[in-house]
Amino acid sequence: MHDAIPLALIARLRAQDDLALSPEEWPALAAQLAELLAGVRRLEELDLADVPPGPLWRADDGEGGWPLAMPGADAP
Amino acid sequence: MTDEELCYASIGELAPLLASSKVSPVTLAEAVLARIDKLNPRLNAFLTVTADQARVQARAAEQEIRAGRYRGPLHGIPISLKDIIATRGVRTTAGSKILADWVPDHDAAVVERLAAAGAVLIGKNTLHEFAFASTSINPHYGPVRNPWDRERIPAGSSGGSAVAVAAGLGCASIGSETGASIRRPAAFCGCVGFKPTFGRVSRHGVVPHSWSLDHLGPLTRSVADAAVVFEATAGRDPRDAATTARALPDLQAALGQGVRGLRLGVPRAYLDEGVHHTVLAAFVDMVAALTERGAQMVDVTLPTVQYTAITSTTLMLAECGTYHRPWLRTRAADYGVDVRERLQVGACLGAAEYLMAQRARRAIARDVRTAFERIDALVAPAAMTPATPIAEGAAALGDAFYGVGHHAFNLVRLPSLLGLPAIAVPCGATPEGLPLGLQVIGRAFDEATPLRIAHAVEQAQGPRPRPPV
Repeated sequence: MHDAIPLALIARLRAQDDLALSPEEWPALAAQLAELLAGVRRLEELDLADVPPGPLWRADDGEGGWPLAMPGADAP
Repeated sequence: MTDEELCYASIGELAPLLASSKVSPVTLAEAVLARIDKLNPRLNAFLTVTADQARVQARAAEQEIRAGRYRGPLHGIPISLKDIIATRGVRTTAGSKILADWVPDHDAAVVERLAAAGAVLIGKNTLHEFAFASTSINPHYGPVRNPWDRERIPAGSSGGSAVAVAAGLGCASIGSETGASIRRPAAFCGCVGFKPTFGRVSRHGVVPHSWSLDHLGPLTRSVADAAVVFEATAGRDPRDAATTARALPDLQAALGQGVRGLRLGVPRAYLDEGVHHTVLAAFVDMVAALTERGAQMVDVTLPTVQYTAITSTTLMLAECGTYHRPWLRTRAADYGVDVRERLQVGACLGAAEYLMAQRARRAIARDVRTAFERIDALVAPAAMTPATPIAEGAAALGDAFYGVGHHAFNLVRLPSLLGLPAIAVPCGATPEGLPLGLQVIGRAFDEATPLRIAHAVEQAQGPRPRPPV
């Protein structure tokens, strides 16, 4: 039943051993995961060379020091 | 005023009547509670009705107002909350089986602010489980039903909030949005849904969906009412590190300024794919009406916006997969299938994918910021379709959850991804009478401009019909 699922996806599902995902669940999850990862790979089409992760707005671009609200981030 | 007129009155209409004791908060609360009692079995907009608490709060408001201690435009106004917002002593389910019996020992920050403004809490609204999808078809508490056609969804996840407001079951509701969960239900139900700038309204005491995407905002029957509720709930809260102390713009002054001279960006490339013909026709008509009133339409191209949905989805799945992981370990069977599968997929994402999406978010923000150098706001349909049948489920919405391309779903997800203020306002109807919506997206922290434009949209249409409930 799982022959059609790429090994890389099976490895990701198996790596979540604390979630005890049943092999019966793998096909549905693998299909969604494959679609998601294909979409993420397309983000490489963007010019991200000088774009680190971080604040959306920064003091130097006129919007004030508003941080990306990651847990624990300090508000301005 | 009849009871029905009281229930459909706006905050703007009621506030002076309450302030002058021409209408009692008790009379208003009783009219709304009776209407909920009558209609909620048909609509499923409320999971919990806090009738006793509402009566106590309404009597207190009545006494304070009579004693000359009127607090402002929300004093004595009946308001409900999406049931993801913690309420002390009142169960808060998040629409889930997992939290079915949770009775918080604290109020969320937004509840504290509404209480300080003198609002009367009438109940907790039904939602999609854990606010994690768009139909409000809830496997544990049943589907929320659209008041314009009870066989159709109200959208979600703030479905019960939109239904309550549209059906006259309270003047306003506080909803939450991670993707489009305030604006799309507002569009489907024919009410106003306002998502302020990220960081304006504290999320302390709100069950998280995705930390970097979650917002709170009001659903109301008018744009002016949305501004009033927003003003009462916004502000710095040290318990939510994302909140800002930045001053609010003068919203009430902005509302009456019209659209003359404003430059409105129209992202036409995104309106060809996935937009229902009735939605597009209503949008085109409204663009013409705003142009007649003096707005200047500017064609905008946003090259990176085609990556919005996949970027937002990746962040959302990774963050909520992390938040829910303890329950996924121990109570996976207690989730509905759609939510559980999404959470499990999110749990499989790695740091590299998450960081790639965060970088993409900044690239999209940079692109949109460049566009805003030429415009004052973006306008677009608030939803791609009219309300869809419950029987057809989520598929009928046509969402391109993982898609890349010039699909209108990207515009639906854009404001939440970038934290920009955005408002959905009713804009026309289908031949069958289903309401449609237009959204206006503004610059960060400039809530005044989208509210001003939405007010002009409202004025251009005149009074709206009431749903056939």
